[in-house]
Amino acid sequence: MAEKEQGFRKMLEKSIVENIRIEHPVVLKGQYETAYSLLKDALDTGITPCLVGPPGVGKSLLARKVAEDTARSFHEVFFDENVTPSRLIGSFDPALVVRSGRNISSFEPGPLIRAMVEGGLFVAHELNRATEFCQNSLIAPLEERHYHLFPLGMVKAQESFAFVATQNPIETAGTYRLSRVLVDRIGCWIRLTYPTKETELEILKENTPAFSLPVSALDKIYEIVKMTRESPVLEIPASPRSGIYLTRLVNKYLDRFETEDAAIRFFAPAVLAKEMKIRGEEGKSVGKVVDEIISKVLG
Amino acid sequence: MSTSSLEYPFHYANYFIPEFIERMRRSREIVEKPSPRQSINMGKILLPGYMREGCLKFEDLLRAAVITSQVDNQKMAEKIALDVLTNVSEYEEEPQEDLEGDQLLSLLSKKTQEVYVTPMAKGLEQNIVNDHPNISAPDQFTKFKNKPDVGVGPGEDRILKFGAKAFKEERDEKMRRLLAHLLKEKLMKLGRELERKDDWSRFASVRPFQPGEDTDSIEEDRSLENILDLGRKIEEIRPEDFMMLKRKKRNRSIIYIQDISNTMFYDYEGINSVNYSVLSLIPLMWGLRNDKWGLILYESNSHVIKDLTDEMDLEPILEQLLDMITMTTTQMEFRFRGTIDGSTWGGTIPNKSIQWAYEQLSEAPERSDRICFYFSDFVLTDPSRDNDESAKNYETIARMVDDGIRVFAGISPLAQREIFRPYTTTAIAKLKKLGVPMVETYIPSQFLEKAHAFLDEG
Repeated sequence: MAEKEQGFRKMLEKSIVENIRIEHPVVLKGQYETAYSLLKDALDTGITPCLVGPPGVGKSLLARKVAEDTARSFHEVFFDENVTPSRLIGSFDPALVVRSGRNISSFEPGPLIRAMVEGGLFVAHELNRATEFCQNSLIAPLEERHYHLFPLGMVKAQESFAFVATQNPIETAGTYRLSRVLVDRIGCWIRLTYPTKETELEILKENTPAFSLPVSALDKIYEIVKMTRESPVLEIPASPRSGIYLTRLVNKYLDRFETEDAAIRFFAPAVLAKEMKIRGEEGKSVGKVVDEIISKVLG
Repeated sequence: MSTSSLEYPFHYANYFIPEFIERMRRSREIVEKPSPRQSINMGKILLPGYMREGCLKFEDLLRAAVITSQVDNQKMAEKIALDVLTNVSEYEEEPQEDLEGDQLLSLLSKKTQEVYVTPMAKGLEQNIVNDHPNISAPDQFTKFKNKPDVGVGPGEDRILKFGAKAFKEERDEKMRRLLAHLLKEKLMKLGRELERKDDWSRFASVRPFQPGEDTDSIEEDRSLENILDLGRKIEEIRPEDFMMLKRKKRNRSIIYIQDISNTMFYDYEGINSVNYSVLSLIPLMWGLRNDKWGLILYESNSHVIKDLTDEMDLEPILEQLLDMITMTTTQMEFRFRGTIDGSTWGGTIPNKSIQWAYEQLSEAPERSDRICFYFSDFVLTDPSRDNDESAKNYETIARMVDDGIRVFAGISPLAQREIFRPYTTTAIAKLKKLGVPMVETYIPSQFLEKAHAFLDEG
């Protein structure tokens, strides 16, 4: 048992990396090209941007890509009602405080302070899920680029420190209204929506390891995904991320099926239904809607 | 000519940005006006493109205007920017009231206090009317002289009630919108207070500290007690020896039932039961907006506004509830049906709504706190008629209580008036017997306090 534990610790040590690199090429076409350029321009000119779009359209990836291309370290927090300012800023270890007082060695920095000190990129995911308490703690770092860390003093952000927020356009349960003060400090709101066919097909290909599907199969997958977005009964349709998962599965296991249609028909319901949501139509389930769409596309 | 061929020197931004911002500020469609920061940001975001291309393009200017505007304003921003870029002159709009937000709020509060605290106050009301002729005619202020207060409590509640009355009686559309905005802000503020209280009451017990947590939430006395009990020396103290206030994870599923039957619109001294309900319901819903919630309105028919699983923005719904303050029952019918066709409307038939609430809450996880807030005047029983139908209401509520669903009633103060008493006494007695707390919506802040105490019991 002790050996196993020690083995795990060694593996953990090996797994710790400074920054995760993006594994697949990022498709910077269409809206992504514009958004990427805007994001860089905003950061270059000291404006705080917010990426707004439905889940799975690539908001986080775009932010990560900018961090990578501008050689900034990457820090992120996914907001929800349980995230407190100390989760962002950091906190003092009370045991060390008792021994040596509140000083730098007893302080465990949070991702925001780390990003400020390292001059990295901090991404606040789902900013509209942050509580008012948390929102207020972001104001000084955003506007004045400093944070008063009592009793250590004022922490000044490095020149290259940048802040990017993301949020979903739909106000869902558990969202808070962004305070006007914070809204005013976010300088630009970059909207992302579902990509065009050409862009999305490329995204599907680029994100599928050893891609070998025939064009017809990829077209069918795209068509199914697209039809979920056109369906009036679906409030949340399939995202590009779902399309990627479906493509990967069909690509990997196509040889187990007689036809590509059979493979798509087998995987699509499980992959697509997981994130979709019905618009409150009685008597319809997500599964049924997916089945109808698959039948329309595959016959 | 393609827009891509339109190029501008950078100093065009000196005209475009202030003109765009000015028009945005003047637009009636834009609620939250752009601040000077947006002008600065527009200039900043235009710069990199200019540096790359050596000129500003039509698209650059349009995009800068759109992306620096808040998401809700982006459509309007695009339209205004296009107007500026294509030299379309501004649509004629009435000039906006200079005062807004807090300024107006303080103005209203001030006026309210003067009118209510000293109703005979040395002709002050006339000065106010002279200063602001749009707000109301002089009789707005003299009307309540020497009359008993119709249930206005101190401070905020007084402002709310006055605001509701002024809102109802104001005919000028612009002023109505401003009053609606102020009332909404006030009610949301009350809601936020409830939210804060509710948040604190979620701290119940203590648990060991974990690295990365907020040291401000350490319960010092209990930590010290624990460290002494463990007999630790200072150098032996570990982070987990400290005790944190533990946050009770409490998922709630809430159904709000609001009565909109004819009796709810009966005006008594300028205020009716719908007004009373709405002034308590809005802050309650806002304060609990992070819980799962559903809303149903009823008269002879039931109208589901949102079920527990729907995802909807709460603010527009609150605005519609607020609108009910100024509406008559006929207007309500028109709003829901789009026509007045003579079919049944306005009776008090809550059966389906209560049943719907029961079904919704039955489907919610049993471990969650399932609550039904029921706002009505409880004119449920006609003593001269067979009351089989109304008996069903109590049966359903009894089933709710038996199943662990907590029911809380917001009762209109008018229910106790002589005119309604014969029809409300039985209902109130029966609900009390079922253990349903019946709290008057007479003073919103007091109602919310009692609602908070009720929530805390869960």
